[in-house]
Amino acid sequence: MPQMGTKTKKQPLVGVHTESAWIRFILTGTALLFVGFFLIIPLITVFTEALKNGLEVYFASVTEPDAQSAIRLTLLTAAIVVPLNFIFGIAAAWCITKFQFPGKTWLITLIDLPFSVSPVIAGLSFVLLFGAQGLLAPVLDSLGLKIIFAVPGIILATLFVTFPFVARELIPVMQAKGSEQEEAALSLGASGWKTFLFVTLPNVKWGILYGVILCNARAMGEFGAVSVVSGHIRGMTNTIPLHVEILYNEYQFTAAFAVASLLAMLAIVTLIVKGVLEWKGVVDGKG
Amino acid sequence: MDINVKQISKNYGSFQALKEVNLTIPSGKITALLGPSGSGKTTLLRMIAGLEMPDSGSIYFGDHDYTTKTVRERNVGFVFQHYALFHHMNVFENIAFGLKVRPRKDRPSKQDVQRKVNELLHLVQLNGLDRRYPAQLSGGQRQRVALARALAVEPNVLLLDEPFGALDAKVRQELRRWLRQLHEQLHVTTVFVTHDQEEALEVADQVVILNNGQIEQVGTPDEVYQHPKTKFVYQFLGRVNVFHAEVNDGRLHIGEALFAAPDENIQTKKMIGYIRPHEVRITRHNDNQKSIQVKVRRIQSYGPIVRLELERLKTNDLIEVDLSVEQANQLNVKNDEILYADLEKIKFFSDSPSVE
Amino acid sequence: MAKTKQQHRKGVIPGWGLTMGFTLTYLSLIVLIPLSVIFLKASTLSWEQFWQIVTTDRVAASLRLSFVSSFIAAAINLVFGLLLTWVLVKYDFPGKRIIDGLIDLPFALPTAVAGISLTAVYAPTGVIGQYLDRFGIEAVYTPLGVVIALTFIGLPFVVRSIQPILHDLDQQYEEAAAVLGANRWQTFWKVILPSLVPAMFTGFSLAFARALGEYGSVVFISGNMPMKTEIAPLLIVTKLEQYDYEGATAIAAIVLIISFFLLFLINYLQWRTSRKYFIH
Repeated sequence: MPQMGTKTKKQPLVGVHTESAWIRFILTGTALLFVGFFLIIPLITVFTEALKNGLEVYFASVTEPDAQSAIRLTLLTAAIVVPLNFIFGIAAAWCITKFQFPGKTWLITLIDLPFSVSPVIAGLSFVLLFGAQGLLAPVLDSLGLKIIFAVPGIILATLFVTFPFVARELIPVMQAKGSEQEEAALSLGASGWKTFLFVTLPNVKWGILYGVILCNARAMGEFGAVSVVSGHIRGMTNTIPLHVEILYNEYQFTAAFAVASLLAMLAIVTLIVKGVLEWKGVVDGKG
Repeated sequence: MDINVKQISKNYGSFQALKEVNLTIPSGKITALLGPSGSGKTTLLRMIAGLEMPDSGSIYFGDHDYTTKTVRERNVGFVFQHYALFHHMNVFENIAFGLKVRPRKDRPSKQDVQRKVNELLHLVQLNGLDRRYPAQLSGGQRQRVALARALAVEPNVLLLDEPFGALDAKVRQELRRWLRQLHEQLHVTTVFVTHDQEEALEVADQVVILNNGQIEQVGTPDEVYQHPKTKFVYQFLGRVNVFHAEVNDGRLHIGEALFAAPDENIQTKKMIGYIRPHEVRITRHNDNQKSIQVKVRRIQSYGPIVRLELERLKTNDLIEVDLSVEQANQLNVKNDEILYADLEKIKFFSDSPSVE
Repeated sequence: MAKTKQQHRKGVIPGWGLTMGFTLTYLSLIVLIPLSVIFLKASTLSWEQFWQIVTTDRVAASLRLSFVSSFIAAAINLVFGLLLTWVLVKYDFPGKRIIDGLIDLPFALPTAVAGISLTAVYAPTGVIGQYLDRFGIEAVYTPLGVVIALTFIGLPFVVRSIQPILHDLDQQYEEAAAVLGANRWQTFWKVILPSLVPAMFTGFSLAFARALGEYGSVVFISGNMPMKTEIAPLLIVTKLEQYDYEGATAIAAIVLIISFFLLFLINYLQWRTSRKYFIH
């Protein structure tokens, strides 16, 4: 296919495909300035502020007991939330892409719903449901369960805000692959479960990874929803983002930025993995 | 306006799309650029339009050097392969686009635009569809809107890139005939790119056959089909039987058949011969020493022609021969019968590997 | 339902009951039931109560601030996001891949981190704030700070909405316009931009909806002064901390309804434009 090859190599022509060098320069410069002001400088600032008082202070900030317990709680939350939403994502993608049923678009819209709900409102809804004066308060009291201002509340709120990530990445990938391979496997006598494990899963593994890393980043970084349900109990119900807030409000800026830099590093790793996956062409570039 | 392409070359990286191409496109005629994909035909068309710039060489519109003129200055009509109709504009707005984007001093009045668009709608037989959006049209209708849009600017030359490529077979046939008729009304110099030989031979006044960035042959449809100048043209246009011949005692041998060697050939031991299925004469007797013995393998009727599949006795190679129904009836050929295939009209080329 | 179930059984793919059942159960437990509680709670308020809550000066001011600053931020993102997308899709420059990846930073960076960092950058002592300060512009603890934070979080929505459309927009359209005599500006204005309008609208709405609900990045830079820099989501939190569940719910209901309306509008417009203009 030499023609395909040549098409990509064609030089853009000024006046037909592109602008004069001057305009290109001005537009590119303006765009880069905008990116610099809003993305690059703030990102770098996290690290410069964190290291302002030297490495020693930095390590002290991230290793002190409250920080450690916040890190542990964040890891625990992610370890519960990500697998649950992963299983949900697969189940949802399976029933949406492999079957035809009325109301499918509605179901997809509902799955996307948490993206358009303010995290604060998500937190509020759990408070109204499980809080001291909530709908289920009598039941919880009689069982001696505590959800709000406790770890279960944090997990529920995080589940809510990260709910769509895996499903949403997986649905288009599985849609594009179609069902032919599964049908072939089934016709060869494979069980449904084996078909899923040996045919579907290997086909969509990059899509799943993509969804999982996005889900994980949000799970570890969620602030608003968790803030509402956590009660900010130091050493108990503090996640990393909440710990950052506490330190910041206590004017321990360097410590706040030091702990924040852990999350910033996570974000950078997430972006790199995302970039690599997109570059490999295994997932599309849509946000 | 005739167009002269002089010594045009174009490279994309290490790929040579066009190699020192020279071509004259006659005024008021339809010229087809025919070739396989990658032959440079589309690049040549886009270069005439000003959508590509040549690395070297020049392009003349009439007596004027247009090589460095931009696409906007060339005033050409271009119909894209997939039409490139603007989706958000209806048929009227699409056709009027070229008039409305003119600088204010050259811009026709609203009434003139309206009149012009109506004329064109009439010309392309789409009256009443002016408020439709491209998504609401059939493939053939989109094609005609694209043509009307290109004609609206009264172009020096009309350029069409694979104009019928995206249509199904029946619509294609109709549009070909219609394009021919339209051309007879307008007489605008027209160039179109195609990889379909039938299309080129049926529609064009002049056919340009390209291969590997070079022109193989230029001529009327009849010339290029009946008198191919190169091996490539023989193979690319129509069906052909290929024979390998050996040079011996100044004569060419194809099995028992003997032919005079072309005089320029002295060194080569081998030559390659081409003959079209309808040029082979079938006889029951070897009457001129230019025949080979064959056995009938299959007889098939395709409407007015009867195609014989013959097996050459000595080599088991298959040969195709087309006869008219009358000839076939006269001969009364039967399966497995042994006959002679007279190759008198065969044309020889040196057997160099340069052209496949 | 019986009829539809029959139709699926025609196919050979198993797992319909299991996956659909799990999906609906999980969706209900995690998302639908909790959200419906907001409306349930809101419905216990009479109209007068509801109206009274949302028209108190403080609540009205916070809603106004949230709407206006979200709108401005989304508009800034629309302009600069379009410019940025154009540059990323159409031009080549060193570091382009990195910039393209960085666009998603606001998705990946926790909002609290963004909040404290933006505050540091735009404070009068900060890297950028010191220059603003020279011109007497205060960013931190002012509505401008709110707009800065909301611009940060909204940028990827606009870019990622427009990018695939601009990228897939065949060069043939630009070529067709140029052949017909349009100059570059006319080509952009009359041919390219109209093709991007649906995507731009989607990006704008997504950025606006996200900004409306944003909390983490704003609370640090805004200073949270009632009547001045207090956004609606923050007021929800404040009301909650004061155990004013009615107040919190009333504000939440308004924000939610508007978010859902936007979501509906996006879906509807996408459906409509795809029917009208696009050749399938």
